[in-house]
This record gives sequence, C-alpha cells and structure tokens, in this order.
Amino acid sequence: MTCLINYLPNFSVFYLLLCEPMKSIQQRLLNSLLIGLPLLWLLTSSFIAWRFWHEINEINDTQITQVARYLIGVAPKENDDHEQIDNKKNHKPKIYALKSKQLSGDLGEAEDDYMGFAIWDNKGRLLMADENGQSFAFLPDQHGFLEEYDSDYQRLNPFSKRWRLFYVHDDHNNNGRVIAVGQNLKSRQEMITDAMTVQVLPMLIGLMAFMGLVVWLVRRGFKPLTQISLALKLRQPQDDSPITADVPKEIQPLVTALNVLFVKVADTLAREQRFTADASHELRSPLAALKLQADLLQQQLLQLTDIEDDNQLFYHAQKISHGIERATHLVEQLLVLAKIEPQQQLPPEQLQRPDWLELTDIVLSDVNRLAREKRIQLKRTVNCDHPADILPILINPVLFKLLIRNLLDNAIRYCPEGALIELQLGKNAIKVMDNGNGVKPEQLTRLSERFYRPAGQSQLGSGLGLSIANQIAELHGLTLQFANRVAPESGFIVTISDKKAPAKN
Amino acid sequence: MARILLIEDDSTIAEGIVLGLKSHGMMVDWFGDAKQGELALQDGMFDAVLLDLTLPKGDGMTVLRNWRSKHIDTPVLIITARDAIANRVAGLNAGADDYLVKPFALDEVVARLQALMRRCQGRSQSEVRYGDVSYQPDNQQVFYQGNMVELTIKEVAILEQMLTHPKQIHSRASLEDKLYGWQQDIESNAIEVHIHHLRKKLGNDFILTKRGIGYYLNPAYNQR
Repeated sequence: MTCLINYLPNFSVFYLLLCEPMKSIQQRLLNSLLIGLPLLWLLTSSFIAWRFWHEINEINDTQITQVARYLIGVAPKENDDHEQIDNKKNHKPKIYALKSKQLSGDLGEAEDDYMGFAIWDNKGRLLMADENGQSFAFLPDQHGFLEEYDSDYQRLNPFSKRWRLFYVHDDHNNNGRVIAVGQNLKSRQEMITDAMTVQVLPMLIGLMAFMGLVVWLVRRGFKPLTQISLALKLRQPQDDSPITADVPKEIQPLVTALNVLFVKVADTLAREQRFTADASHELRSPLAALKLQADLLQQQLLQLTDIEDDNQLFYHAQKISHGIERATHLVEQLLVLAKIEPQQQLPPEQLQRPDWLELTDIVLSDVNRLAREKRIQLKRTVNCDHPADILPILINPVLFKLLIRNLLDNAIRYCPEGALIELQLGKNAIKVMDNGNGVKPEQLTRLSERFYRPAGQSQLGSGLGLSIANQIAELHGLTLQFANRVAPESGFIVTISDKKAPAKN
Repeated sequence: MARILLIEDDSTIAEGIVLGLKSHGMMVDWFGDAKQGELALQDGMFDAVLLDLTLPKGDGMTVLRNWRSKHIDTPVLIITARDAIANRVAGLNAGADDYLVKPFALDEVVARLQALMRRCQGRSQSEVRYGDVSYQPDNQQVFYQGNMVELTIKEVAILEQMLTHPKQIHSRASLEDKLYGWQQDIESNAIEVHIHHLRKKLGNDFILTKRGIGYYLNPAYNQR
C-alpha cells in the first residue's frame, strides 16, 4: 500500500509520461495500470450506481402508486357528511397516528417515517391523513408525481424532509378528492447509499489491494532487468564474463546476445591492446637503433674535432637526434592515447588522494629542462590556506602527472623566450597560466582536437598533447577550459575543474 | 675492464650498444637469441647483463628467472620496448636490477650499467679520473695534477655532472636543470660564470664549448 501511495502523486505527470517515447517500461506499465484500474473501477461503479438508482426508483414509485390506488379504493367517501360539517365550520380532519401503533410480530427491517398520505376534498380541506401526510401541501392541479425540483413545494418544506409526492384525483373532472401519497426521499437515498456501499466498498478495498499487488508484481517482474542494467553500468569494456542473472524467457535472447557481444568487445579490446604493445615494440626498436647510431655519431664527431669551431657535421648529427626525439615523443603520445581511449572510467583500485605538492614537484622537475632551454621561469602558487585543501579528488597519479605535464609542456612550447608559466593550485581548480601571446579566439575550441595545430607553428609537437590532457581530465570527471587572459594581460590559461562545479575564476 | 653480456636480437641496436660501450671502456659479448645468451652467462664471468625481453628461442623474462633460480646473481639491466607498468613490475619481480625502455640514450645505458656494477661491488661511488683531474664523490674533493682544488658547491656539481657523463655535450639548460631545479630563478649567465671559474682552476682547455650547443670535456685530456 505504501508503494501505491507513492505512485499517487505520479498521476499528474502520468499523461506526460505516456506521451513521451520510451521512458521506462516499468514506469509506463505501472502508470497505465495504476491509472487504468481506478478508471475502470470508477466506470463500472458509476454504471452500477446508475442502474441501482433506476431500479430503486422504479420499485418505490410503483409502491407509491399502488398505495394511492388502495387509498382511492379503501378510504371512506364522506362527501355529504363533510359538506355538512364544512358548513358548520367545525371541520376536523381525521389524523391517523400510524406511528404510535405498535405492530407485533416480525417487522423485518422496516423503518418509520417511510411513507405518508393525505386526502383532501376538492376545496382543499384535509379529510384524512397520517402524521407524515398532514404536512403535505394541497395542490389541486397536480396529477401524478411531483417533481419537487421545479415546484415551490420544495421551499415550503424543511430540508431534511424531502418527499416524493404522488397526487391523484378520484374523478377526472377535478371535482373529487385529491389523494397524495409521499415517500420520504431520505429513506430512499439511504436505501441507495446502503446498496451502493455494500456493492462498491468491498470493490474499492479489493481495488486498492489489487493495485498494491500490481506494483509488487511489476517491480518483481522487472527486478532481473534492473539488476542487469546495474551490472551493465558498472561493467568495464574489457570484461568478458557473461551476465548470469536469472532472467525471464523473453529477455534471455537479449542477454545471450549481450554475452556474445561482451566476448567480442573484450576480444577486440585485447587485440587492440596487443596491437598497441606490438606497435610500440615495432616502432621503438628502429627508433632505438637510430638513436644509438646518432649518439655514436655525435660522440665520434666530438672526438675528431677538438678544435672549437662551428662544425657542420655536428650540427647535422644534432638535428638527427632531435628528429628521433620528436618521433619518439609522437610514438609515446599515440600509445598513451591508444591506452586511455577505450576506457570509460578509471578502475577504482588505481585511484588515490594525491599529495599535490609532491606530484606537481615531480612534473615541474620533468619539464624544467625544456623550460630552461627557453629561459622560461616556472612558478607554483597555492591558492588556498592549506595544501590539503587543493582539489580534493581521487586521481590516477600516473595519468594526472601526464595531464599536468602536457599542459606545462604545451605552455613552454608555445611561449616566447623568457616567459613566466604559473601552475596555480586551488580549492576548486588547477590552472596553468602563461604570459605569452595567447591563442586566437577562433582556435580556442579546436585545441583539444587530435593532431590539431594552429597554422604557422614553428614549434615541434605532435598535436596530441592537449587531446590527451582532455581525455585524462574526462576520465577523472573533470573538464579542461581553454581561455585567453583578460586584457591588458596577455597569455593563455587552462583550467582543470570539476564538471559539477566549474570554477568561476 | 668491465665485461658486459648483451642479449639482443636486433643487430642494429646490438652493434650500436657494442660500439658505444666499447668507447666507454667496456668489453661486450653479444648473443642474438635466448638460448645462447642464457648459456653464456652460466659459462662465463660477466660484470653485468643487458637483456632484451623479446628474443628468438625463448623469452627474456624466462632466461632471467632461470639464472636467478640457479643463483646467478649478476646484475641485469633489462632493455625493452614494452613499457606497460605491469611489464615493469614483472621484470623487477623476476629479479631484474633495473629497467630501460627503448629508445634510450647511449649515455643512459652506460650510467645505469656503471651504477649497477658499483652497487654490486659494494662501493657506492668510486673516484673518477679524467686526464689530470680526479674527483672523489664521497667527500666531493677535486684534485688537479695531484693538488686539491678549492671549488664552490655549484662548480663541483657541474664538474661531477660532466665527469660522470664524459662523452656528452652538456647544454646550459641541462646543467641549469641539474643544478637548480625548477624553483630557482637564476641569472641567465650563471652557468657561463661557473664554467669560467672551472677553467681558471682546472686549465683553460679542460672544458670546451660547442657554440650554440653546450660544454664538453676535452677528449684529448682523457687519452693522456
């Protein structure tokens, strides 16, 4: 029952849900059942009530007309006597105190105040009546049932005593007696309400119980599906173990197909990773050979030329080394991208709370040499009271180092000589900010695209650095925002912040 | 003279390493497959091993395990193109002493091998000689033609860096990186000044300059 009550407020949104394409089957099923059943109940109950009303009216009206007929036949005609009495002006109607008469024997479930009658002569003098009937009005023009709604009669009578009145004349020329028989409508209504209560109340209770049952059954029926979707949500792409949940027959083919798919996906991923490892080997071995030979070449050139002059040979050897380094860098970046790309989320066992100062120390040391080459000064600031407050999230330290490293690397590459690069650690965000020339606004949005490098670059780079940084940030549920510093300052800012609470400044 | 066993199937790489190590005064025996390499260490005396992991006729990791199970404890430096973290851990668990991922600088291999051999011989650091100059890392003392020379801390650091990588050209940036870390902002000519002082104290042509590239030790001195 409680779940039923929970669903009741849903009725307002139910219509919307029905119109929307494919939300949750369970929700839709529940909504339609929980709205449909009471509607159906309302419909059948109304029909039953209507039929009851009709039947009871029929019985009662027949009864009233029957009584009227008896009265016409049985009530003594005292016309002449009454004329005389009338003339004496001490006319006294005969009132039958029917209620005070005790009947003996089984009375069934009879009620008092059920009916009443009154008989008048054609001049409106009450001839006889019972206690109920004496308050009936004399309506000389009335024939048949009085529809009390369209008469003044209703106003003349107290609210609690509404009567259904039947008027009849014992001759057709309006000269004879007027006989009125009335039935207490209250008791008639009671009759109907009782009948309805007897009929409808058990049905209503039954309906409530049934709706509770429906909710329970639907929930139970969908449980395997809910479990499967939960299992799917938590699933890693490389996991090839089948779903073993006990599912209904209808879902089984789907689950079987999914299980086959899992194996295929895991297989593809494994193959891709094997390919990555193979490719790394295949690409690295020739690079290693080249690098060794270039190193040897440089060493030997150094031995040969002990005169201090600008040796063209040495210059070329150095260029070869740089080329190899660049190719190596590209291979490394590609491999990282290949490794992190199939992942949707990081395995929880790899996550830990970092010591940001220690971590950034390592990264800054890593890029220091590159910075020194361009006489770029690195700076780190902590923008909160305590280092423990810096961006309190769980991270994969290896990947996060790579993320910050790529950002710093990028800044160093594209800043002019002598620039200042600042790594800001804050409560909600980590920023890498430089005082270089910034990026053209139209290029800002394209920066994290793979292999995108703004035109006219003299810098050596793979065009993958920011793309990798972006991927790593996504894996951590973070975002990277690229922006230029606000004039009059110039430079580029990258902000790493939480997706849910992007940093304002 | 140190004797090194090299097990590597790529001949270009192997030849490069052989030549490079020779020029640093090491003797290298090279084997191209796992079986021969494994036997070579069991039969001969080597000071250190350079081991590739992907080899014909076996796997480098298995070779390493076999040696260790036979209590052959020669220091092993793995050189491989596999870089997954799992591979690193596996290599070290199997008894490797160090790990280098391809491609690497010749200089790096030499430095790591020397470190491994020193560690194995129980010496932390030995005296380094280059021509008339000798340096004792333990107490950071420098001798020129047998006489002790007074050097500042930074000068010693530069000299140490150059002596331990004698065949390399040291750029201003790389020396700054080694000496100052990332936190210090320094005068742009600081290294130049230190080199100038070193030259005054150790002879004017002990350190040479390759213009636009960096500083290196005069190769002629080492041959004396």
